[in-house]
Amino acid sequence: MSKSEKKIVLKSLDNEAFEVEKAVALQSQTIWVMCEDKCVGNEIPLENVTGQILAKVIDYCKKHAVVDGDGDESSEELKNWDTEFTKNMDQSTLFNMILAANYLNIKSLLNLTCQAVADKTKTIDEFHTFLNIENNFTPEEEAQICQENLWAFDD
Amino acid sequence: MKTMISNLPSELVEEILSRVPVKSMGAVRSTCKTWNSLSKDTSFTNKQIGKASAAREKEFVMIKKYSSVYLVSVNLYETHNNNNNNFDLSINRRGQLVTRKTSYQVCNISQVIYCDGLLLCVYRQINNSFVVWNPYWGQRRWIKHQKCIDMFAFGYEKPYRQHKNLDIEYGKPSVSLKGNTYWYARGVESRSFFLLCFDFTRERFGPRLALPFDSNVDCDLCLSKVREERLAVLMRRLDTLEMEIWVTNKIEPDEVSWSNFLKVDHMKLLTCFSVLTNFFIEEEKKIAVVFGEGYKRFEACMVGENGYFKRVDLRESADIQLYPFSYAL
Repeated sequence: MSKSEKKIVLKSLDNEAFEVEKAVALQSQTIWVMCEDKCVGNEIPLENVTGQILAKVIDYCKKHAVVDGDGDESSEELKNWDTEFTKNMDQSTLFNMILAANYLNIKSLLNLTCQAVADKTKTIDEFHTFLNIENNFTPEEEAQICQENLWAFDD
Repeated sequence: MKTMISNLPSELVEEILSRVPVKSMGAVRSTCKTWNSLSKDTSFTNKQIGKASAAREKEFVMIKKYSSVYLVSVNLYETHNNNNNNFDLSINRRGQLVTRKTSYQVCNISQVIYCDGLLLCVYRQINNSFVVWNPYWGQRRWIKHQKCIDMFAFGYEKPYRQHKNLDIEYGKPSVSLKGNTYWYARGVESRSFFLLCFDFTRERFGPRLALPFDSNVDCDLCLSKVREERLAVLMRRLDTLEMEIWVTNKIEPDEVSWSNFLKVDHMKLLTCFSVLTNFFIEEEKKIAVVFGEGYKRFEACMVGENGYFKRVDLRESADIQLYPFSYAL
């Protein structure tokens, strides 16, 4: 295989092109299927992902491809890298990452990003404000929920 | 434009919410109507329990004598030291059991039994009253009993999952697996240990189930679970200073078969604890984490292949008990 065949170009929704190693891109089941079908050339259009998000997804895939290849880094180091990776993402970026991981079908990235949102939200207020969910209970329903939740593990 | 959770399709919202730790489920239920009904959906709860039991961190309920009930997470992690694999253990409090109504009863719980997402809480001193709490759905049900009981088992009838509890008159700490409860017991005459199962579907005890080692010796035993599938037994011989851990290949109320998980022959474990209280195994790492009462303290140690042994001082008084939670020990 020549060097150029090992590379693949991913094109984002906003027409940003990323040249990556095939091994990196193939962690996405969606891209893998596209390549198998040979319905695309060397350039794959990803119509649901913006360049800003795709760059992050590629960072993740690069990190995980290298580790799978030579086993240089321990799973512990990889886990720390994952934690750092999502630590400073705002909610909006995280949701976009979840949508991208789902569309591209990268299971480990979907796990990681869903877990990151779950970990960042703990109290009722956080669910209302960060996740922007409206409280639509009637006062009676609220009283009943309150009664049900009398017992809890609390900080 | 900012992307919000409301822009996500419902299956992705479920993916996120099923990862919310059990202690925040009250908050999820109180957020909005959709989430409240979602969180009470059985398939959603099963997904949640599945995620929790597959997680790296194991959850336990820790009861401190005369004070409080905590949810704690135990994390076993690898550290690299001169290219040798080494392990460390951390134990963190995730939350304390509280009630929003003034009540002394929450902190008076003396024993809990976990079975498939439900906790049976037994009170100190009030021996004829106990409560079944579903921490995922928030519901509680009080059960009053005619007479005083001090040993409990908790399981369910298949295929309806109608939870039942059972009072028994003897026994050691039991393990709930697939709705049934297992104990180890010792023959009065033979002095050998064996396993007994209470089959909650047929409401009867099964036959004596054989253990995979000669237990007609001076030894102590401890039972545990590997996920929700298999039973594990630890045997510590007090005469030859050996320790063995076995895991079931097959376990039913009337049938059992075993494979050896670990065998160690050093005396450190023997001298570490006066009483063994709990253990769990990490199959891939070939490590067992054993909890017990050490000298004045509650301690843990990690035991593995090739003589690997490490003691962990958890800086807790000896007056505590650990009970498996979502990581079904």
